[in-house]
Amino acid sequence: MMRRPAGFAALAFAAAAAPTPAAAHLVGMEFGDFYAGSLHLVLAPGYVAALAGLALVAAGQARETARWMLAALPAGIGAGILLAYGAGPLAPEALLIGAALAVTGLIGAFALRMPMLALGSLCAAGGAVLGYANGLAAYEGGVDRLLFALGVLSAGTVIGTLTIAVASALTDAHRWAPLGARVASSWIAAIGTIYFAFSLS
Amino acid sequence: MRVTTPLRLAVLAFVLMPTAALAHSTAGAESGFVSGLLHPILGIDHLVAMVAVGLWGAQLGMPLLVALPVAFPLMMAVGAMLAIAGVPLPGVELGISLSALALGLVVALAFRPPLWVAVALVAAFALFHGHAHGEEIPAAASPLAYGIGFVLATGFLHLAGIAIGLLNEVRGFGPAVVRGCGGVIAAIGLVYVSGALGIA
Repeated sequence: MMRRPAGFAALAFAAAAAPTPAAAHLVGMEFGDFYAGSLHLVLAPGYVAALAGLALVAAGQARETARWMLAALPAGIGAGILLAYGAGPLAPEALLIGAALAVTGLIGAFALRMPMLALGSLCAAGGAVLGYANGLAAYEGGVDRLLFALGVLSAGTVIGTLTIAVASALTDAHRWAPLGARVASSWIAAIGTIYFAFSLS
Repeated sequence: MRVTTPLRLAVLAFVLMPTAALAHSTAGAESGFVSGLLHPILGIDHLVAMVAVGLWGAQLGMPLLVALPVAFPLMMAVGAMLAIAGVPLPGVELGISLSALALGLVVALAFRPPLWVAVALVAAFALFHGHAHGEEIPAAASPLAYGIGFVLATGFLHLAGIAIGLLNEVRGFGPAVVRGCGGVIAAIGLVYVSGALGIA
């Protein structure tokens, strides 16, 4: 083979940079609806912000208490999906996500220490809102609801667990991290309040 | 065939080829986010006032270093909520201009009030900023994306102010530079106040 490293590498990177359309929801594949569920949660900034808000709340708690959030979150997501599948639309998504962001943001901004039961309930409620909002996307069918639910549950659990772990580890390792968590929480509270207000207007 | 480094690179590049995902329509979200992000940055009175919040926080030190950047977005959201609900707030433009003037002055004078006074002052001004942002949300924009944009822009302007305010710890010229920044902000605020009052 001829040796043309620079040209070959340039060609390779040009190809890498070439944008082409793709369908993110791989509905034509066997497990497409699983990915559809995962991406439905991951690609919406409101859902990701809600998970970040819960992680920032966890960062301000005692580790013995915060670890229960890792169990409460998937349980809440699962319950929310079941509620969406069973009951359908009950409240506007913006209202629920906005309220979740505002509440978790305020708790994080004021660095409120919570007892285990309250923290677990908060996390389960946040998870339920996420599960419900995502579950509604599959309420009217068109997808395999079980695979979609598993996708939402998996993505929510993985991202939630990782963000909680990262936020907690940073808080333990750096003196500035708790202060940063409070400021970031106030941003999440502000975003939630605005979104909530819009849902009512 | 010998597998050369460029060939490995080519294979890697093809594996990592970026493609556009079409799962969610982002037209409204993108425009909303950019509008929200630019709104505090393109308005000079907004920009200098928010930088002044960070400067003042850094000058005052803990706990106001955190309390001011936390109080501002929270009250700003309340202001935006009022605007979205259609509740009028008199003198919004004057309030924003005054915030630049007043916050610039307190930095320039290195004013050290009690904690609650500093928080109340910043929170009161944040109400005006939030109301202005809330009033000007583009109709076609995604409200969530717009909110994320302007809250992030506000937060990063505070952080920029804090970063500049850290010069306060530099012996010699540091505090003078920070106070000088406050003076410049106050002067800009004065121009805007004059404009809002119809003097200039």
